[in-house]
Amino acid sequence: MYVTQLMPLLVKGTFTPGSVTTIATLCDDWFQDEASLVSFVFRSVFFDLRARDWDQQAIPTSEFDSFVAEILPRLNAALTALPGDPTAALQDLVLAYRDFI
Amino acid sequence: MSENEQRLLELLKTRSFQRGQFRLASGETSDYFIDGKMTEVYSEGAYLIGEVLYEWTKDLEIDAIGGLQVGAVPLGTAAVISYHHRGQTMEGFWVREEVKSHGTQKRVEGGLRKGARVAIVDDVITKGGSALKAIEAVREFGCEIVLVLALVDRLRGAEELFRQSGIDNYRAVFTIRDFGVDADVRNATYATPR
Repeated sequence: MYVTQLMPLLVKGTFTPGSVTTIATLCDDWFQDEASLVSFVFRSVFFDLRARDWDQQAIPTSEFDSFVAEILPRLNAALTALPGDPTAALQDLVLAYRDFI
Repeated sequence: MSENEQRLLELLKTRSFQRGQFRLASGETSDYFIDGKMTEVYSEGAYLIGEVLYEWTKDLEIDAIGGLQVGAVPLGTAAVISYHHRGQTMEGFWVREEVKSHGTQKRVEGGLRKGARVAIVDDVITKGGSALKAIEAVREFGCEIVLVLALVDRLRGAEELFRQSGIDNYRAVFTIRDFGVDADVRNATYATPR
């Protein structure tokens, strides 16, 4: 259920900095209902973006573009890997996220 | 524009206004950004914000002033201190962005009471979505919204959004035009207070 709700929110062109709050809340619900490595990673990513004020007025375009180019595809890859084993996709995601921040 | 407002505008221009390439929360692009915190948590800036918010609200017989976290927190704090300096009591509050169904956090933090007359404040308003969340939460709490006040309006349609939401008492201390930005907005009518 959560995967199908998240996927349309993570589409390039649809995803905006302002949608981070909605996605963080959804990921939090996901983690609470279905605690797993993938739900925890997703929750962590979007809570971190909120802590970086992504849901406030604006962020530098370069930061947003970098997220869209490097992180968004990896988030989608992790979701696509489900219900199989998402470990490799998550490992790729977290390394990319480390470089992103 | 009062002397305090003129000085506050100077501070906002020098400390908060930035040129560059930015992506707004809505996804639109912008070539400027107003980092309100740089002024709001600076000694003179905090003082001036309190004074200006006091001047804008003193005759409205409000019981509380606040808005959506994080932007409204330093504004509300500065305002209640200004009220205190004049021997008047004033409640401050802030509205949390989200409430978690499994948590114990309250949506509205502070001394807000049902039936209170409230001024909603925000530092920088773009389309008004953040302030609208505070408006809805305060209404749901059972309070009357007397004024919605922005420190800076970026003139991207907030007034229209508020009007559609039944708010006809929206004002902005400054608009982005005060910063020399030529906003492309139709039908924007922003009055100076009283």
